[in-house]
Amino acid sequence: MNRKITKIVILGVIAIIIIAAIVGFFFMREQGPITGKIEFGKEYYLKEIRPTDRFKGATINAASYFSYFKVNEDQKTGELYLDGLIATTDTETGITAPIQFIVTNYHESTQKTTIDFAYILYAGENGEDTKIQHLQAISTKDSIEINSVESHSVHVISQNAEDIKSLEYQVTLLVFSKEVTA
Amino acid sequence: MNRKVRITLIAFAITVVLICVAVFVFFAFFNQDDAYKLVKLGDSTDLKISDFTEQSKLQFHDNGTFQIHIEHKEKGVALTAIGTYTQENNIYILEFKQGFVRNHENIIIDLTADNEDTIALRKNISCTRDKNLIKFIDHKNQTYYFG
Repeated sequence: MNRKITKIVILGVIAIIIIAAIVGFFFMREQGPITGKIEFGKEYYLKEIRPTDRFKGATINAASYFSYFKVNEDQKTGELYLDGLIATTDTETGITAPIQFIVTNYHESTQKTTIDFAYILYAGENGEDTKIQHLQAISTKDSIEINSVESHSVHVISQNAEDIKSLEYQVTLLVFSKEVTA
Repeated sequence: MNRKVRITLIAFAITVVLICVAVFVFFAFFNQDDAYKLVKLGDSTDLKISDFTEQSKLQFHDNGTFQIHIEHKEKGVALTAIGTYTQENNIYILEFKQGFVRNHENIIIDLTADNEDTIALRKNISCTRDKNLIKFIDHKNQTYYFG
């Protein structure tokens, strides 16, 4: 009987050790150096424009190097300033003044920091298409990528009918450098 | 012995499953920002909830920021704004960082503009918690309930 109890106790101890190891692994991962951290109040300057529909044909020129992304020291708000970019798909992206955004979610982990933010886009002749835009900034050791969830209509031809479905995917729009630039 | 080992393993498996379910439930239901949908309108309007788009909602984020969007299906945007908030008892004190509203002349104007007319419009806006609902009075004194 004692032998049986000993075995059960050993099994229990092994189970506890396994659980502790799993919990410890995830805990230690979170405790590591945070390489994707951003400095609040610091302006990170534009490094690259990805060839997406939103900035189709746009290139970096001398003026666009003044474009920046910044999260304010209050950690609740920030600024996105885009200068010298030419967008062909819509008119409102020729932004010449910093747009204020609010941070809706902020999460630090060891490899990257994720910042969800929102701002209002005034659009349409009389503002009738004005809407809240949601973007995501992913900060890693070297750069901050601004991502957007884009949707794309897809024709689905089935046996009985033709259907149009919307496919959503995440794309990187802009990349800001974490290096100090003049 | 086999029976006891089996019972121990089953108990262990149940514990692990319960922990997983608890973690999932926490992240799915309790660790979310409050997003309120438009559920009711004030008595002084003939409009119906179905007249407004699904994007019409009020959201308070854990870090002290908020966003609100009220859009009529035909008339378009009535009010859209983002900013920071503080809560004192049942009252939400809103500070607008960006915002646009349709004024009495049916023109969309910048809610954060620093002129007398816009300041007067901003003063009309209030946001309070009324039991389980958030009562939002807009710049035209129209009442919306979010919940």
